[in-house]
Amino acid sequence: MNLPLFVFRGIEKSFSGKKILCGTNLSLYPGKCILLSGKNGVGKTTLLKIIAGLETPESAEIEYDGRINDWKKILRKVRKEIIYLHQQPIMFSSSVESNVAYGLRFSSLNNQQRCESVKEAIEWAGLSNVAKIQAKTLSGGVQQRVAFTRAWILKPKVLLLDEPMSNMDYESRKQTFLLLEKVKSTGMSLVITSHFLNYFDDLADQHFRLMNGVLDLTNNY
Amino acid sequence: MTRIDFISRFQIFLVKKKLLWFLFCYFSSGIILAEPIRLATTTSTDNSGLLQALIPFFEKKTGNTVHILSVGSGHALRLGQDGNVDVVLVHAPNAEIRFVDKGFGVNRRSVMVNDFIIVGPDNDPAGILGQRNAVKTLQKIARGKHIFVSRGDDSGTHKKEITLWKKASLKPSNTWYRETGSGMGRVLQMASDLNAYTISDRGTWLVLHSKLSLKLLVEGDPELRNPYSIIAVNPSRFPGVNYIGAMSLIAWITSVEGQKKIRQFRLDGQSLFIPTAIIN
Amino acid sequence: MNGLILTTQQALQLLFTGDPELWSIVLLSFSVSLKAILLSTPLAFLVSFALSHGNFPGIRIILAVFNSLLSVPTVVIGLFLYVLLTRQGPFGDLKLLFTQTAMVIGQIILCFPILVALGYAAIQAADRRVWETARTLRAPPWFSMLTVFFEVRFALLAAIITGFGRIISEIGISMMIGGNIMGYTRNITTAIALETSKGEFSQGIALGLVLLLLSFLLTTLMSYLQGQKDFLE
Repeated sequence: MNLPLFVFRGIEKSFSGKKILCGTNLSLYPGKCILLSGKNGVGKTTLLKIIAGLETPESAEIEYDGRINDWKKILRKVRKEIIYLHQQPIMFSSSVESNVAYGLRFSSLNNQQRCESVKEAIEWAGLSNVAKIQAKTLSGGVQQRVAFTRAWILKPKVLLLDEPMSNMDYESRKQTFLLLEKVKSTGMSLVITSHFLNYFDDLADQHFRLMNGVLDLTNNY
Repeated sequence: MTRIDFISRFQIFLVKKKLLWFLFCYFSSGIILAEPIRLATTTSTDNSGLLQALIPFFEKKTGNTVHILSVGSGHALRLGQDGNVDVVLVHAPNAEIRFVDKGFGVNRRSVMVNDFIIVGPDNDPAGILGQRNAVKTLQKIARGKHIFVSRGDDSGTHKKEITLWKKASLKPSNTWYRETGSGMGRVLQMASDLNAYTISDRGTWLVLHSKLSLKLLVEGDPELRNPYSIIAVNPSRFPGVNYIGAMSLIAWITSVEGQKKIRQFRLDGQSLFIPTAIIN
Repeated sequence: MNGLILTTQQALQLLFTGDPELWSIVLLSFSVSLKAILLSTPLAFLVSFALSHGNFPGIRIILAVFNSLLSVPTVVIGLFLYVLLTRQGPFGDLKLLFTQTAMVIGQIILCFPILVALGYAAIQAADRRVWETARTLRAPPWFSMLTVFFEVRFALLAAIITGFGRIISEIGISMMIGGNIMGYTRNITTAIALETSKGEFSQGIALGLVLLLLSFLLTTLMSYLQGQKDFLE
């Protein structure tokens, strides 16, 4: 039986007086993919950002390593293991290589190891031919791949993807899907929000709908 | 080898820190270096070029640095009164006496004397050319309501002008009297542009007269005598003031050498200041 | 008219023969203003960032204060500082009056609101995703902030240039608390004021030309930066 990496409980969040999340709970398991759907503006992005540590909930609990903690206390540790990817990711004003290398700056690797890691990641993602090109000048699809690689290279335990395939053509979608499968098989936990439920039929293990501030388990594959 | 062309912002941060440290040292070094002597003086001594001729000698001889603030006599005395300068060199005898009496200054010494002159348009509509009496001159100008430009800035020149109007029992009216609040150079310029009369110190006049369409009309009246004195700011009133430096400057400027340099100073071929510190 | 042509000729002569007095005045202007802008910029942009990303009460008020300080006349700042630094005043013992240090302090006060206000505008215009991406990729807050700065670097540089332009051409502060001491606190603007008050226009015109040229260069640089910004977006 798989033990969850993180369990988020009782997430509460309001925007201008309106309650968006009322005690939402979510458990993240290694190597499992959660699909999150719901109407536009219902709070899917907010939920993901709270999990990633980019937004502050009014209250929340995190169970991690067998212990239950108030959100604020272990945020730093948790946040390190969870990476959030925007629907349309933003590229830094530098080369693809630099973008991919960004997060490694604060890792414990030395210069040599960093270079090798970056090279490896770029090959893995099939970005070798654009490695030295200014990331901002590339097409949306390639930028998505750069963003993905940028996150993957840090080997987080959890990846949160916000509407990952919404602007992609068929070919890019296929590529991304294969990447996500590969990544899932290495034990990474995925949470994906999307409207296009059919794309993720084969990938998702659980499907939740966010409605009225609560998560509804729709499907357990 | 990955070339990370993203400018290492951290390195720039370090450079900024180094720069700040350098600047801190630069600023603090100013405090350790020799203390300058702050001299507040009048625009007329500065304009004439006298100080530019004298001070470098003093600086070289004694190794001191003199910072010259060139403002009107009134302002200079005010700076002394607030303890913002160490020594004042002005030409406003009544104000100087009050300054010393009130305890702001000590060791007032007479330095030199020159004179004021009255200048005006070439055609001299008021007919004052050759007048020997300053008060009568002003009365004539007032009677004819000819335009007169005044310093209006509480300087030594201005104070002298006010004294003369008082002696003439006159209060000039705005129809022909222009109070400008400016330095002597600008006032002369204005008088030239307006074809007006004004009172000036001889020094500034000699520097500028070739560029002006004015003529020297009245001089020589003892009332137009312009004595300069130097006063040290009272150190018991303002303990932080550079009294040693001030006294050193006073000593030099009233010494045989300093007085000689003053006598030797020439402008336009004319000897401008008569030294008065050492009475023979 | 003749006089003006002659004076301008003399002015150009002073400039091109490298008249030492003239160029020492120019150097002083640059020295003081560069120090002021370099010392203000890091803290000002930090404040801009805090105002943009912060969550504390009073942000609106603080912004309003800085915006209103943008148009303070320089003589007012000069007067205010004079009262503080005069011997009788609260900071009189520091003996800062009539020093370059005082001028730098005055100019810092002048350019700080400009840097904060324009820096704030630049950071507000930055894509929020830059900060979020940096943070989620494990960059600490200070580095994420620098990342944001890098992404809006042209707008920030424009802010610095604007601030610099303002302080190098101010006279109210330099005159009141510098004292216009030759070789020590006489900068371009106070020298122009002094020379013209003496009726000597050629040095004044020469210095004025230097300032005009500088202003032209700064404006050109600004348009170039604006062009770069537009090109990259």
